[in-house]
Parts: sequence; structure tokens; C-alpha cells
Amino acid sequence: MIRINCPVCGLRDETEFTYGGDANVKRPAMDEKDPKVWMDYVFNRSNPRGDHQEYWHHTQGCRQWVILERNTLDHTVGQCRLAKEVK
Amino acid sequence: MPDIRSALLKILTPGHYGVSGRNAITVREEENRPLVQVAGWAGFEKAVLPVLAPLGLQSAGDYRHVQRQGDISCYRIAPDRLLLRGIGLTAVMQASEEAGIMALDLGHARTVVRLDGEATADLLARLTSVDVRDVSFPVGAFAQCGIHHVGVLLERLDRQSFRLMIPYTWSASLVSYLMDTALPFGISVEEGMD
Repeated sequence: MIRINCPVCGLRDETEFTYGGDANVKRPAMDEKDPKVWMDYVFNRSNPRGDHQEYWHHTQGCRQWVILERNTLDHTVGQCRLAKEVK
Repeated sequence: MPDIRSALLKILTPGHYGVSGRNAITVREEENRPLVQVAGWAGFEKAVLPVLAPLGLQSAGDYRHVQRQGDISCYRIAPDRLLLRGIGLTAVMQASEEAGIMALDLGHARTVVRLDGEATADLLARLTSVDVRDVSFPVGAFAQCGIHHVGVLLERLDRQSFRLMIPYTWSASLVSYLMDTALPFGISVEEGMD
């Protein structure tokens, strides 16, 4: 069980959250014409071994999107910030 | 306002359930009171002040403690959202529009259940991941949390008393689950709304 320290609600079980994907993926510019760039954006993800930044949604709590640092190897959880406050 | 019927008519039948000779928990559905969600965007804390000031509230408050002013309870449920219980939509409509804030009547959308008794904290510890010990969840604290995979607002009214605000359409299932979990403690159902 992962415990996530929501910036709004405090420390909660992972079961209150919904995983939202890789937080490092950047949407291409809307005028991007190369289909490979869009294919990478939509379908292709890296599978890192170690530290990872990912989106989680506090579905059963404050309903805010957060960016969580999680180690994919041992599930160690690091900093958790509101996604809208991360530039 | 429409006449709202209880969603728990078939779930909360007055009587004693579970362990005989012990009555560690009492459950009762509270009357339906006005409930308004007030939500905004960036700069919400400042923008909402003209809505709150006529109610006697000086700020949006924090995410952990209920603000009370007379019959009104104010819950800061997100950075840009709060719930006002005990006041109707019409009372905040005009100020909200002028402040660029959205106000939404949720009075029909929640079932409110009150739990009393010596084992309420023990029961809630089996239902939610919130630490409900006195030291970390004192009187006046509230939390939005997941119970039975449903988002519930949990509030501590007294050392042995809690209020649960449950989405109306999920409340029959959730309270039924709560009753099952409470059986080992002994639970009494009191008359509530009809």
C-alpha cells in the first residue's frame, strides 16, 4: 500500500487516488505536423527503473490533481505537489 | 424546494443490532439542511471574501477545520472550493455572481448521518484511512475521505460524535456497509428523517 501525502488533505491511502499517468509527458505544439511526434505523445511511454514523476487524482478526497515522486523499483514515495502549482 | 425523501428508509430501521447488551454506537440520519458549494478559479481566497463577509466569515479557512458562524458551517474542501452548510443558495447567489464565483445548491445531493458513542472512532478506523485519534483529528476537524470507495466528508462534532456527509445516491450502500462493520460493537438506530 502506498501512502500519499496530499497537499490539501494530508496523508492518505493510495486507494483514495486514481493513477493519471506519466507527469513528464509534454503535449506537442498544436501546429506540429510530424505524425511521429504525436504518436510518441499519445502512445509511447518510457518505463523507468527508479524515480518517476506521475499524476494522481485524489478522487475520493479534494479531487485535485497532484504530481507525485515515486520510485518504481521500491515504491518509495517522495514529494507530492498540486499539479496546478507546478510550472 | 422539493420534498427530499430519505435514501435510508430501508437501511436505518430503528432498533438495536449486533452484539447484545452492548450499545457502543448510535446512528441517526440528520435532517436535510441547505448545502451550497462555492467554487472559483485562481485567486479564489481573495475573490470569495465578499461572499463570506455577509455571513460573518472572515476567510475561506483551512482544509482541516470547520468554521462555524451561528448555524452556518464552512468547509474548505479544495484550494478553490468550499461547502456552506446551513444557508441556502439564494443567500449567496448575488454576491457570488458579483465576485465571479460559482454557487451550486447541493442540498439534495447529500445524506447526512450522525454517529455517537464510545466506539465511533474505532468503527471509523475500520472504514477510512484517516487517522481519527483525538490527537490528530480533534473536535472541529473535518476530512474528505474514501469510505467503501465513496467520497465522504467526515467531521468530528465531539469526542465520541462524528457527522458523515455522503453522496445521496451512494448512501444506502455505504450506510449498509457501515452497519455491517458496526455489528461487533453493538449499534442502535434512532429515528431520523423520513
